[in-house]
Amino acid sequence: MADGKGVRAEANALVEELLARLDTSDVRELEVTRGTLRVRVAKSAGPAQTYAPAPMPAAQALAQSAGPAVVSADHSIATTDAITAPLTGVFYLSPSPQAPPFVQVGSVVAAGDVIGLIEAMKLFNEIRTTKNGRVRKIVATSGQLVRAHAPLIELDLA
Amino acid sequence: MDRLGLLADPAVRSAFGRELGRSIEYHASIGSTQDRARELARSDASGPTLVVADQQTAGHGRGEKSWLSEPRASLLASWTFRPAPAEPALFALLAGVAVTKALRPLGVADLGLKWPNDVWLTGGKIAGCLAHGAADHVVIGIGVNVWQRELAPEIAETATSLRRAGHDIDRLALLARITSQLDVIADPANHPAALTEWRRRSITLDREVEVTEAGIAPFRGKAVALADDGALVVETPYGQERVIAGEVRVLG
Repeated sequence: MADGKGVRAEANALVEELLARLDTSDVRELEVTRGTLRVRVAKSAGPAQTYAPAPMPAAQALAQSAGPAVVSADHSIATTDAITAPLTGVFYLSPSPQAPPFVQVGSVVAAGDVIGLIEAMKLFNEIRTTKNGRVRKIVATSGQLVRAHAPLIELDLA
Repeated sequence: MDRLGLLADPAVRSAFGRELGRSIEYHASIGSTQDRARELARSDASGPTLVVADQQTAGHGRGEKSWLSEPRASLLASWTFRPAPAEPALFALLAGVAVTKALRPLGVADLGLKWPNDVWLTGGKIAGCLAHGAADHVVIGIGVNVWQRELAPEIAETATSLRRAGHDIDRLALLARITSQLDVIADPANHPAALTEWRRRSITLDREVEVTEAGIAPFRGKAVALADDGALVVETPYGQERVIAGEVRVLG
């Protein structure tokens, strides 16, 4: 069983990892759960939080930026214009590593269009938009784990 | 003796397809059976279809991986299921069970399953499965190393073939048996028995594993269970993790 020191070290390592990723990303907020440890980092919403349920001590860290290991479902983006993940898995923005992305910022999409894939257990699920609009932002990063209900892209609705 | 080439004859293909309840497309060479089957599945008019090839020039694995094939050495096929089976991700996982159950009556024992659906024999991977899901259909693609005597250097350490393990398997017979077994696992009523079979053949459970989930540092733990939805439960020093995506490497 890990001691408190070990948990803090794990948490700090995780926070550093997320910060490095957020630095190079447009994503505003990220959350990772690993065992009983949960780490969330955000760009402008104040301090990042690290959770470790008793009896493990919580580790604290401040973050100004981070990048997605897991895009949190607990987000501040209005859901009315976000296409969200229907399931947890790895998000892919293109059908294969060599292929162009399904959508990019500025793409016009219609309800039913495929905007990405989410892979779980070697099943690649097509993710389709249910709304018409123009892609304002790609929220999730291709190749990263996303949790169910996390935002994938934001749309300016038509 | 390998009779897969018989499918080049339209009459044989038609008769075989009727027996299996699917229309069959046979290609001496194709980029990817999976791409072709997905194209067919998107067509509203398509019924159950099986696309099989003697060689692929652009086969898919997960992520950056490709599925290497030389002519007539592998069984390379993709099946369309329309409508999509219930619990399609679990169906994809259980495709590994379908392959083991197809091989067993052909005399291949000691098969193992590595999470989620890789089929292993004598310490090497012999088959892999990959699926694509849409709202109204699922396409499952399976590649089996059958006749290879040598494997490409980049996969030689982790892969093998039925031939190298001492089994001469007719790809046509294997194709028929895998098709029947896929139809079995497409029925959710058969999931409990298939899950039991997966657990029995697992080479992942009760082992130390390293899990690499996209974008985060790998973690290690002991694979302690396969959940009924197909997730791998890994015990770590910080609690249990449910793994549903990512690469799982068995350590020692």
